[in-house]
Amino acid sequence: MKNYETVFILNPVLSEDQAKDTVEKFVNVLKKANAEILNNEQWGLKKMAYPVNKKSTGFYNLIEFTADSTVINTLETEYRRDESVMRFLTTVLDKHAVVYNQRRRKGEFRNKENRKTKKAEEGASR
Amino acid sequence: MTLMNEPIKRAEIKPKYCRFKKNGIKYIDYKDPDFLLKFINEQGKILPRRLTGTSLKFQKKVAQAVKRARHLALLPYVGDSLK
Repeated sequence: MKNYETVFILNPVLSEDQAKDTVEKFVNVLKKANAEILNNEQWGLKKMAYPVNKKSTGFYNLIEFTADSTVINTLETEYRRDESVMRFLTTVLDKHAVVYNQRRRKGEFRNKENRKTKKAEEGASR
Repeated sequence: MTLMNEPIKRAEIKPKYCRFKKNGIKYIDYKDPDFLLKFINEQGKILPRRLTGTSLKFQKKVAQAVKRARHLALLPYVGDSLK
């Protein structure tokens, strides 16, 4: 079992409900393969840095999960089959990334002020 | 007289340091394009170590994170006046 995280971008042409259903579909794919979902985030309709498939925006989604490595193949096949997925990226998380993501989930990095005070504290303790 | 080199004031040259080592940052998030913006130039190219002072270990991680962010269209492959 390893920790993974996957980000995928859905076609902006989909309605909110359709996008939600598609995300649900991938979550179910993972669950069926005995993966444990740790986090499921929707970043909403975001502007992309460059056009992909002639679209300038996309629905960003992030799923964190723990699973066996065989799951990744099935997941990525599903991504490729689904035409509404414009881009996807699945990465293995190392131990530092796991800690980082736990803190991120708690919202420690949410705003810049928070981060600045955090850094100041760290600097003071050093 | 004119051929004499100017002495270098060593005290004025600030030594570079690796910000990741100094601040104890262990993981560089590719999902945070605002942070990665510090390591690319206006055209979207990754800045060399000799300019940012990043250690080799973290430069590799920065490069990997920037490339992942580019793939997900969080950062551009080519840009113009990014900053």
